[in-house]
Amino acid sequence: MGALLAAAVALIPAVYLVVRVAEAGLPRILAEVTTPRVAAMAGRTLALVGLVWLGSTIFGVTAALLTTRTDAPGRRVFGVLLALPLAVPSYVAAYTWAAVADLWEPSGRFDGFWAAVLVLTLYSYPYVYLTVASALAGQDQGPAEVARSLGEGEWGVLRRVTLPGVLPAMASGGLLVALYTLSDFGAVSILRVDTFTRAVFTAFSVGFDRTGAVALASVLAVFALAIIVVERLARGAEKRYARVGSGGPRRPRPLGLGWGRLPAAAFLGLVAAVALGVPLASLLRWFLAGVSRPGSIGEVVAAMGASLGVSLLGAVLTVALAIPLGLYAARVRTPLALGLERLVFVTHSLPGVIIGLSLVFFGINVAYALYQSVWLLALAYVTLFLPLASAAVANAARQAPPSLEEAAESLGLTPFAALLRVTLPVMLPGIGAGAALVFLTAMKELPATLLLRPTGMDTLATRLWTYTSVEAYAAAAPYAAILIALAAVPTWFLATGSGAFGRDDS
Amino acid sequence: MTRAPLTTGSTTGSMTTALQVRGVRKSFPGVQALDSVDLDVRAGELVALLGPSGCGKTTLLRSVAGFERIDSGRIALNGHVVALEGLHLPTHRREVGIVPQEGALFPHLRVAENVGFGLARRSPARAARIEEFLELVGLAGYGRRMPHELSGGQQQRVALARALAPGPALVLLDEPFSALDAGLRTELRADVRRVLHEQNMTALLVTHDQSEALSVADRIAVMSSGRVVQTASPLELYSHPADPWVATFLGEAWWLPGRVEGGQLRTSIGPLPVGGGLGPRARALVRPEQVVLASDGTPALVTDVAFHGHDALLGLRLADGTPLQCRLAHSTTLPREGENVGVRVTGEPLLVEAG
Repeated sequence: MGALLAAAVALIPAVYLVVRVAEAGLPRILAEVTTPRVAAMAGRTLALVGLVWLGSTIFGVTAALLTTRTDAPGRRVFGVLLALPLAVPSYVAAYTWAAVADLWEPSGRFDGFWAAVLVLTLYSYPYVYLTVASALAGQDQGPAEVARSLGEGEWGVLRRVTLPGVLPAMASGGLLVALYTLSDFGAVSILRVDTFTRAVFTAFSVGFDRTGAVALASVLAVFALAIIVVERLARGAEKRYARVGSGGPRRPRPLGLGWGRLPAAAFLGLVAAVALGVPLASLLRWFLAGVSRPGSIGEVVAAMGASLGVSLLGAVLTVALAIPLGLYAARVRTPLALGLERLVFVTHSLPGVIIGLSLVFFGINVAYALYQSVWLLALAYVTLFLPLASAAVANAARQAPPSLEEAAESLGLTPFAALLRVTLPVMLPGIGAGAALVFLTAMKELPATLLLRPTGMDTLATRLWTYTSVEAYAAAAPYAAILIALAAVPTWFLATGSGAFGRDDS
Repeated sequence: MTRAPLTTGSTTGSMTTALQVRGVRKSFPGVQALDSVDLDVRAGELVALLGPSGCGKTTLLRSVAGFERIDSGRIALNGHVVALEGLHLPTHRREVGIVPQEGALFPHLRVAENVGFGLARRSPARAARIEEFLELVGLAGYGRRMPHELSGGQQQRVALARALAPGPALVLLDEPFSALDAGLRTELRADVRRVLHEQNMTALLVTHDQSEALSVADRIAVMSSGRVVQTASPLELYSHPADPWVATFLGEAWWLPGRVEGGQLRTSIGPLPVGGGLGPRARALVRPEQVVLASDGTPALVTDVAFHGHDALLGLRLADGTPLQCRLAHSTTLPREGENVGVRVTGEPLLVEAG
């Protein structure tokens, strides 16, 4: 019951988008999207996605190999440093690059297609890097040893055994990058690149062109769905590569790079230095000016309060719905449960700008009482982040096997009392972690927040975006600093907890 | 917490039958898990439900516990019906204690809180009862520990104390020793048996381990394909199995074919005593420990030797090709493969059938 309700709530935006498309009628939608401008935009968007995917894959795989499989100097330190760009939300990254561009560019401008490619690559390659590094760390050395015994040298093993083994991880990391690039709104709008997300937003909030916005959003949704489908297929392939047999995987002997050690370290250092150095320099340059601006402290505190409040509301609602959904998915492996889990994941993968737009229409036409209230924004967070929370709940539920409830019932507790006194307390840490993740992620969310915030309310993310749009870099700096700090928390756990760079015996 | 008054002092006359299972059937999609099962457990008795995996023993245990609804038949605890077709008393009102396979201790509660889980929260005797049962299972002073600080064997002891503390009508043990290593298992088995008897507790133990059932239980119910095929004391079961399947499930056994003459079965290893009512030809089932080495016995070829420490199992072949095994109690010398020895059969055969 609760699981169905949770899924229904999460599906509101997707369903409502379909309703709007149907209302507008296919001919009108087709007329809107079959124009030279849309064609050019589609080309630009896909080129951006393709280039960022390619760049991220090259950076990510190279960095993962160097840090986990070679004797490159400083690989342990770089191993963690190279994951940290993930902590910089793309729009914050775009801001920090634009805010120091005058140091190397006479015009002082940092924008356009190639700027977007660079920024998005530098801050999304960790998706590939982390998945591949963790796959490499978990890879069984059996096949590699057999290949060596059959006469393959180091490079032959790498090419014929190691890399094919992490291909699924490469694919799923790469597809995540593609999906995030396609969904990205903040960076492309700050860097003034006309992609679908930016066009949807502009059509709606500047041009008040609702049909146009819906038409563009539906094209964007189709692209996103295509990537999701491919990503799912790649994930299925990953299972087939799972390690067979028992016994702990042995850690491989690091590959000796010889004279290549220095260039390898230089490559790792350069990527880390550029990706982390620019935001750092930018904040150093503007932060003091930003906080000493008259009235800035009060404004930051107000935005912080608004962010905390609405994110907390979103996190509480999301977790409340995630508990039945996650429990259901973990305990009952029926087709219905699996289907619900997947459906919810699909809406999670839709760009925030689509969710925001759809809920705006939903608020205006269906739930006017919610329109212009924080509740509608909290609902957007539920839709966007429910899978994060329900995955955490499902993991926690696996810590509390049904036999615990059965034992409690045999000791005289009703099933409901057993749930309250045994299952939920056991799941609490996992649920807490899920809530914290949703909370931190909601604080960073930009496009849906921009579209749905009540008039007059500003969060950390919207303040940063507004100031950056008018090139008020100093005023934006405190917000950027806070947002990076917030995002650094889960990233730190991800980078250090992935097991890829754990202590080993070498 | 409300509980039906199910404890002793029952109104029916059958005071000695703590658990009565009659004609219980239960099917899952595509499987008849329980096919008209009958079982009686007398008060204070420890009965083992023994059978290969998939025979329905766990389903029967879960049906008695109330985790599964039966399709038809009847289950009564201390004379009170708890399950019928269309009637299902929920687990929390049945007063059955459960010791699951891996203990399933509540990981967020201390040992004492685990043991006290089924006791009334404000009862004045609560603390004393927790202490009493911890002591009973040999864990006095462990009350403040968390479950993860205990070894597997200790966890199972706590699970037993937790199940016994509320004074249930029946304790169900679901392969409680299977996750432990061999030495610990023997020790815990003996302790569990002692505790259950000291408390005069009625218990049903599910196991697929023959030696466990034989060494622990007062009686054994052997299950196969959803039915109880024989219920008897361990000794009775081992030496008088109801059919060849039960005989071989409980241990090795070999057929010796022969001719029936004057109340004896004449086999290639010598005459064996048999009853009447057989045709001219019959065969008898014997256990390896009935086969002994004797220098004046029938000659046999040693085909293989498996040394187990406390004993050894010799594979033999008689002159006419009949295969046989001989269990040799611990000795300092063993025959070698390919050697010829003399053998003889002692005692009565387990089973004799015509053919």
